[in-house]
Amino acid sequence: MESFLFWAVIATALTFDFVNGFHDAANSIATVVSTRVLSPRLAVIWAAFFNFIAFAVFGTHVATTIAKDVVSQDVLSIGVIFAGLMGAIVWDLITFWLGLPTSSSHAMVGGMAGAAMAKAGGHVLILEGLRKIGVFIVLSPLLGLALAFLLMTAILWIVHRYRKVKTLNRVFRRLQLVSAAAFSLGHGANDAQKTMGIMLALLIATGRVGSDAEVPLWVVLSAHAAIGLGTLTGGWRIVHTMGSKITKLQPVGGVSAESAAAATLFFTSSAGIPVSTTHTITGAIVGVGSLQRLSAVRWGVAGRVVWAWVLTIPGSAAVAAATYFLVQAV
Amino acid sequence: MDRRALFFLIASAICISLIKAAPAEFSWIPTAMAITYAVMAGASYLDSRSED
Repeated sequence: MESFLFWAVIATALTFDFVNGFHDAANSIATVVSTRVLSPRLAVIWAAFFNFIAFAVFGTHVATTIAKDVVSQDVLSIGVIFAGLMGAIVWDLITFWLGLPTSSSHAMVGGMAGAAMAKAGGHVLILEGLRKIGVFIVLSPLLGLALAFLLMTAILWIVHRYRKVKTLNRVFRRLQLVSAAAFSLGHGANDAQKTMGIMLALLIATGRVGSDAEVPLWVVLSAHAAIGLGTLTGGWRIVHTMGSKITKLQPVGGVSAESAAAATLFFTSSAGIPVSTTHTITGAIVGVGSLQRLSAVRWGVAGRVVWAWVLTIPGSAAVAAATYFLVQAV
Repeated sequence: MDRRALFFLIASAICISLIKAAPAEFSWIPTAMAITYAVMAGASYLDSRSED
């Protein structure tokens, strides 16, 4: 029975990862598709490939943060991890229905915290780890925004005397291949590692590995394969561009936004900080839009991101706690 | 005041408020960002003044 539950939770975590790839693929390929550099099908293959190979570039610091820096390891059990995961999934579905651009990463952290508190109370929370995650919930989109604004300013300053606009557009359309690849790499690194963190926590909780263990290779590969397959399967159907939802992007803006978001994700992934890839690219797109004029930014979307910040962790924690009590009762 | 400059000024204030909250090893990030946003606010304000 224990073994069945273990594999059931692993399958749920990988499904969560798969849906993440399915849902977020549009973020990285939207501009490449909208400027017709690649067909939708080729673009998702491009993104999925870089999602998958991210495991070879970045370490597993984010996974370690999720597994060891959110709640005390003594409280981890199959029930807690299952409830935490369900809290994240249910919260994602609720906010998807409400149209809030929520973050799966924040939902997962909230879910883990809520389930652990339901089992043993507030003292099991690791405040230092949660502080790091909480600060970067706000900082990562602001970092993406500032980098995109500065990068776009630098590019426009460099090319402003160049009169051959068609040639410039062609160059930046090609460069989007590189920036989209970089963003997909960052997305694969940060988001797949969150699932790895859940799986590592489960392995520790069930005594399959020690509490100081590194993430096993099969966990790394399966998490990256799940997010890559999700991107490959669903991405091309949902290319209703993130770009045009917030502000209309030209190729040069796409390159700037994706490069800035990728740089933010590279840094946070290397530092072991789980952040929202969606919020990061949203911040970067706002940065590019605000360079044109502030009214070019659709503030309704940006404002909903702020609501998602405020509501996600308490919301997913509440759902996870309720799930834990339900599991215990059953 | 120029709306974009005001927006960057608010972003700078948010970053300042996060300096204490950030773990010591990462406190340089909100500090650097607060300075960057303040410079961006100043530049944006001057830009809008030059257009008037």
